Amino acid sequence: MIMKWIKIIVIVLAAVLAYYVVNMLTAERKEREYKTKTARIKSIEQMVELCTLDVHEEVPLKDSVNGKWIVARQTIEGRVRFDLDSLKVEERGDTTIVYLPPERVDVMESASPSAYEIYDSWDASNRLFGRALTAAEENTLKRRWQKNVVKRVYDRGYVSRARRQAVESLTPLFRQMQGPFGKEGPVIVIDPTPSGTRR
Amino acid sequence: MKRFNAIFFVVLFFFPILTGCGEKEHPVDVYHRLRDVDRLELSRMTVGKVGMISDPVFSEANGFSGKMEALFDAMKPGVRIGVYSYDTYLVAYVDLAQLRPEDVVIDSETKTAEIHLPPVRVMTDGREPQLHEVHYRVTGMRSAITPAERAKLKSQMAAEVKKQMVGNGAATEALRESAEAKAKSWFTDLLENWGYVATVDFK
Repeated sequence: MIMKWIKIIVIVLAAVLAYYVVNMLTAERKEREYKTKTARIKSIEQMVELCTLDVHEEVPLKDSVNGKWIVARQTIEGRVRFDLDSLKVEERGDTTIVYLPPERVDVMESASPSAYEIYDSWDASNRLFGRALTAAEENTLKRRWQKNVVKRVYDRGYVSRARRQAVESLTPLFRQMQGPFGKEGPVIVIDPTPSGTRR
Repeated sequence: MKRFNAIFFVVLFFFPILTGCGEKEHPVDVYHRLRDVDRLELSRMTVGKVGMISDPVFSEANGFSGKMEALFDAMKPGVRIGVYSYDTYLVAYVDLAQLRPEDVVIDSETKTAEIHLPPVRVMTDGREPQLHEVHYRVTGMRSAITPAERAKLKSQMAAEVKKQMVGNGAATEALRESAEAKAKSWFTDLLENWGYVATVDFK
């Protein structure tokens, strides 16, 4: 009688184990869902900005901080903008001079879900008990990468091109602007820093 | 000779008036000037999203393998929680390259202008590269949260933001309205500076 129950228990356990193994091997592994809160609007701000250049790049990255390494791919979006609400206007004699403001180079990660992917990360200073890269360390690296992209945008002449484009767009727009002498005096748009203002 | 002098006088008298005709505003000039601006950004929205990484809980686990994983995790001593947040940006703009000549109606006599601007469009303006760690508590036998897990969480959060904001017109309506208000005031001021009383609306 006991042997019969033992046999039944063994069969049940074997069936459960077999189901678990088959399930592990054949079932499509569902991506784990994390708990999240509904997206919240934090602010809406008005502005008038002229955007004359868009940069879209997919960058492979291998970098380290505190002996911890990471290999990743990041899709970045960059834009060169000019704030038209902060134009400096000067009147010299009968001439009105409009100065092109300093550009703002915004470099962000693309909002696409697949914009940031990690291929590998490891602790080179301690191979046996490797420490994981912390969020603060990862943010330090991301700030470094952001700075590198901004530098590239300047080095490749994108900012100069964006400034030239801005002057071309704004000149006809302000040509008929009424200066101190109505429409009698000319209005000129000047770019005081054609290669941009690096910060 | 006298006749020649008279013609010369007439030409000289009317020359400034004739050349002055070129100074007059023409609807096409206004149209070209506006169209050349291309993309004008008028309003920006910041959207915040918060997500959490933790070990699976048995009651919330899905499927047999999920339940088993949660069961094994429950046996490990300690806690594993990481709460993260980041911002996504949306921009509302008018693409003035879409302006058509018939969208600009100028009345030189009454000095009035009607501008029918292209519809305000909304686009994503990227997201913060950094993920802010709001809370982190990993104790006992639990393993540290890895960069790969944070990247997966961000990916899931980005997909949800896209669904909630970009795919949902109501969510971006406030942004659109804000951009339209700014565009109306800015273009009205601009045209007033050009000497017109302007009416600005959207197609």
